[in-house]
Amino acid sequence: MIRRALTFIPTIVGVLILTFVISHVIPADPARLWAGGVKARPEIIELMREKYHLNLPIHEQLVLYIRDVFTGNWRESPMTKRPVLVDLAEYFPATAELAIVAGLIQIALGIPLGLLAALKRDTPVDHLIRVLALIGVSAPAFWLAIALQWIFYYSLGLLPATSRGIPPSQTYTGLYIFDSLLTGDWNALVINLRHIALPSLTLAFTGLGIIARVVRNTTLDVLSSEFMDFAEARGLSGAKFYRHVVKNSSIPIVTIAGLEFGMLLSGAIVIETVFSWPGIGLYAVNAINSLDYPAIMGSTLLISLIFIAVNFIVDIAYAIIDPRVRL
Amino acid sequence: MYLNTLLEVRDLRVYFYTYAGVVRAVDGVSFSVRKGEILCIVGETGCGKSVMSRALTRMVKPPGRIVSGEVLFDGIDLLKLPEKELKKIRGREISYVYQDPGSVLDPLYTAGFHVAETVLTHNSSMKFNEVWGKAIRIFREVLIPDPEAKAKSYPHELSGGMKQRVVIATAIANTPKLIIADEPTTALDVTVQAQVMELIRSLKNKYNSSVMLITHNLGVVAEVCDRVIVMYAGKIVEVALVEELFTNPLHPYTQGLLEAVPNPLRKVERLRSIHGSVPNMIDLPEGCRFNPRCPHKLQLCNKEPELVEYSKDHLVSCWLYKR
Repeated sequence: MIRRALTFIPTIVGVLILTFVISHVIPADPARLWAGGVKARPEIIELMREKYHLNLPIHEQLVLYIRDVFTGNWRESPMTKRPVLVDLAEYFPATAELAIVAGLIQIALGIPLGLLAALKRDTPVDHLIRVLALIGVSAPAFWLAIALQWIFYYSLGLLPATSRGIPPSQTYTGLYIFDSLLTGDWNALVINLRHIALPSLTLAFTGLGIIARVVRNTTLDVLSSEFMDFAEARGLSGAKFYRHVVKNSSIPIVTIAGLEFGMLLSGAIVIETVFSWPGIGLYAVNAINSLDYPAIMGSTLLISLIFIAVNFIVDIAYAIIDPRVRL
Repeated sequence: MYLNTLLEVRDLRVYFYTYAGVVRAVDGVSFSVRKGEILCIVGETGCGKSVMSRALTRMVKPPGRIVSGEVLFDGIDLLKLPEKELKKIRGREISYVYQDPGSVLDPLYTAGFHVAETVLTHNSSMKFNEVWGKAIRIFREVLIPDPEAKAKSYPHELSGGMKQRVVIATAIANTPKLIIADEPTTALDVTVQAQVMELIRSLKNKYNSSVMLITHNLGVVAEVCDRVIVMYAGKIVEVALVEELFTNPLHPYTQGLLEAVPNPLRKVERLRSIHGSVPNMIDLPEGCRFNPRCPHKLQLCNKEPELVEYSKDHLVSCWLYKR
């Protein structure tokens, strides 16, 4: 288990090297931009270069950066003039909230749809779910987002199209919906739910069909396995029978749910931009636009860390479900 | 019906409706299983043995369908019984041992759990720890060494022979009247095969159950069976007591089978193979299904022969013995 956890360190270093190189090889002069643009005074530009080690060779910059990251110094964003970690702490809860709600939607709809398709195999219901999955995979998220905005905001006026709603009277976690529930602030809860509806639905839709398909196929696989045949021969029925189906099909479902959660985080970048959702995606896009290296690196690193954590949780879930898996 | 008949099958037909056509996997099979006997069903792969055995408790999956027939068990027709009642019979009155112990046990549950839940399903008033205790007693009975520890093992931690013992343990868990063993030794090492067969035989004697043993191994047939049914392409071609079958095989197919393997009761100069191959089950030959391969083919063979009594306890379906 600890050995498994240790293998994540090279992954993190790899992510750092990749994003560092990709962002730093862009032929641009960030120091000038950070110092104020074309009219910036040379001594300020030089100060910026000094502060962010931009006059060192790139490999030395990289080593310095990695050392800083591992000692907890994620640098200061030249644009917001605040430590990146502080920025991330402010923006991240919005993304987490969006991804969690979208993930819950995916699971709450994807698993029943998949089971339905499996039980109604090769009927119109099954085909419909297949088409839905195909649309989900192939429709671009930004297009879907605009389409939903057009229908629910512009045409019907039912739901708000942008921004995040309001914080409840007290915030504990920064997840507005969760905090509204904690404080019992029902007014804020309704407003926040209305605001999250469209972005979370859009985000969920891309992976929903995939989850439904995986659930369908694994359920059918398990149902046609020899041990289920033998379970029937032993006279098992009802809960005793379906316990075997559920446990066995949960293995691939956990895998795909973990992967999809990673997709939700990266998908959030597009969705947050379209819906002006003040999350880490929007922060990253702004950072890219202003060549804000520390912010770009910081947000990429955070998303990677979460991705790795989710994968680790999936691994642990495997080991709990399947006795053949040892961490 | 004999007084000592446990199960009687009449004119059972199981067809598979595939895109290529209708496969008549079991086509008008009638026989009976007597109390306390080991009845062997022999025949080549694909001749309908397994499908037939599963059809007895209506475990045929689409595209397969039981088209007609009666399966009388204690005087009740299982094919007409509601599914709910049938579930009480499967695993309790009639239990199965399948071919590949590596894939019939759920890999996510312990060996003991399989036996325990099989008992619990049919005795819902029992508590789980009582059932677990019973599972361990059954493990001891099927000669699993260190039953307490093995009951807590997962299938992947056990050897093939050990897994088959666990499968047998689930089969005898509710002391069934009939155990249907579908090629129980095919997937096992030769050294383990004999142990498993011996186990099945001794358990049968202990519980006075009947065993229906499906096999294509004539050595096993000669070793353990009381009576033998020979199937060919979905039909029964010969039924006989085991000694009678080996000393006086009537049907040309049975004769061919016996000449193809070393016969313990008769000295054979050299082994012979049966000419040709099993017919396409969708496009069967007219009349006797063996006629394209038969060395004694007659004009009459274009018509279907019936299964008739040749002598006491010896039935054959062949025009050669038409009186």
